[in-house]
Amino acid sequence: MIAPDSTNDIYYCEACHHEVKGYHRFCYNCGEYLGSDSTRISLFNHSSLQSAFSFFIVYLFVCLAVQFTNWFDSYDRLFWVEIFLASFTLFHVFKNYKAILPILKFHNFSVMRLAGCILIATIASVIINIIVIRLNFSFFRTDTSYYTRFSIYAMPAAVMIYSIALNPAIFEELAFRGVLYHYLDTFLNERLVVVVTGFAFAMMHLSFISLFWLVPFGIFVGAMRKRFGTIWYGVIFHFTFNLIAVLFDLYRHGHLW
Amino acid sequence: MFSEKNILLLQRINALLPHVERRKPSALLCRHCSYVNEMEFSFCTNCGYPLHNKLLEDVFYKRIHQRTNIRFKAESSVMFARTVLYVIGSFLFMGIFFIFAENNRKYLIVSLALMLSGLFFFLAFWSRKNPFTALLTAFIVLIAFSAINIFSSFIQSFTTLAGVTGMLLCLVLLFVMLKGVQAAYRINLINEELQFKI
Repeated sequence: MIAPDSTNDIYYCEACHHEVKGYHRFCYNCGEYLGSDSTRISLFNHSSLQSAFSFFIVYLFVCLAVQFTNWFDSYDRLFWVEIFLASFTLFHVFKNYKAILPILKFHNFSVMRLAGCILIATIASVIINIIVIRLNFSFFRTDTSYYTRFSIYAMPAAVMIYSIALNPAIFEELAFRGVLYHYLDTFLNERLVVVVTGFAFAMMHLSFISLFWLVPFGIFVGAMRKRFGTIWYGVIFHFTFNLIAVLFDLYRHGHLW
Repeated sequence: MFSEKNILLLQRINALLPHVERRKPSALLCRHCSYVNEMEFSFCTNCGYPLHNKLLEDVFYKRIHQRTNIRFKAESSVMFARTVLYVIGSFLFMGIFFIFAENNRKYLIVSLALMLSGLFFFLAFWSRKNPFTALLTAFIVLIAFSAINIFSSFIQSFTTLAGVTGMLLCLVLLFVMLKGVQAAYRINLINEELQFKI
């Protein structure tokens, strides 16, 4: 075990309190392993993993409450759920401000890359929306519409864009590709973090059929976060993807024009 | 033999030569991993092997033996979790027989069952290469599926026999997966400790 003295970059062996160098694996004085005590450490006292689990569990249970209870059937109540999840995410962002700050900057901005991102999101969203509508009609004989829930408001299209496209794009990306990614990145290989956050993102949507496209979606956005070192390409991809779904819905119900 | 005169001469010559200082060796090679350590060190900073006191060698080997035993136990937990994943995958694969059912949604059920079966087989295979990540992903997948199962028919989960049995099964699966994740994590740490830089 090792206890760093952050002020002078000096490390101490926790067993005998002798000063050791950062590259020492074992204490030269008592022979104690300086990494982590594998006989005592457990999953339950690993702070990053604990934070990752608690973060995911809170998200999951809020989504379960929204999906499987009728408490949040109207957007009046759902709005406060969105505010709660956004505040919860921001709280974790501030808790890990130093680690998350670099990915909030728009590095390596390229118009071509941005256009590619929007184009892929548009094509993927159109294909998936057509498949989902056909599946819903063929198997469930239903035609789900987002519009009915928002039609009572003054500007339903604007509220839909905010609630379905803008809010999830910013806060889900911040939550999964920002906070959760950071927590897992402290003890996992980054390529594996992309996969795990992709699965966590897909699971949070609580739909078996949607796993077909949500897992690749999550992994693709995570891969962009890894490659470009920023969440903004993911946010734009997510926003475009959801925006196309909203426009599709408005168009099908004759409210686009 | 030197004469007395020659001895005196040699002494005078020696007195004129620069003084040679005997120095202690500044580094010491570890007998276990050949890592270069400073002379003052009691233990090798790479593998923890005692550098001076041979009596402590026994303690070193006991520690390695203890870690190997812990790893062996952890590996059996990981293997158990992996087997459970194979069982879930095989069970879901049997959903293919729904194709003979007289149900409007039979093709959807079959494709869902096959997709989920594939997912669990993939996670089981992946756990051979990357046990911690694969089992962590399996745990996330199972916790979400269990939550969907319990919450989608919340009252039935607590009031019917099928609901309670399903809930208990979910809890058992989650427990096995969590034990597997914990064990895989421990294996990673022990491997890290026992992996000497040679």
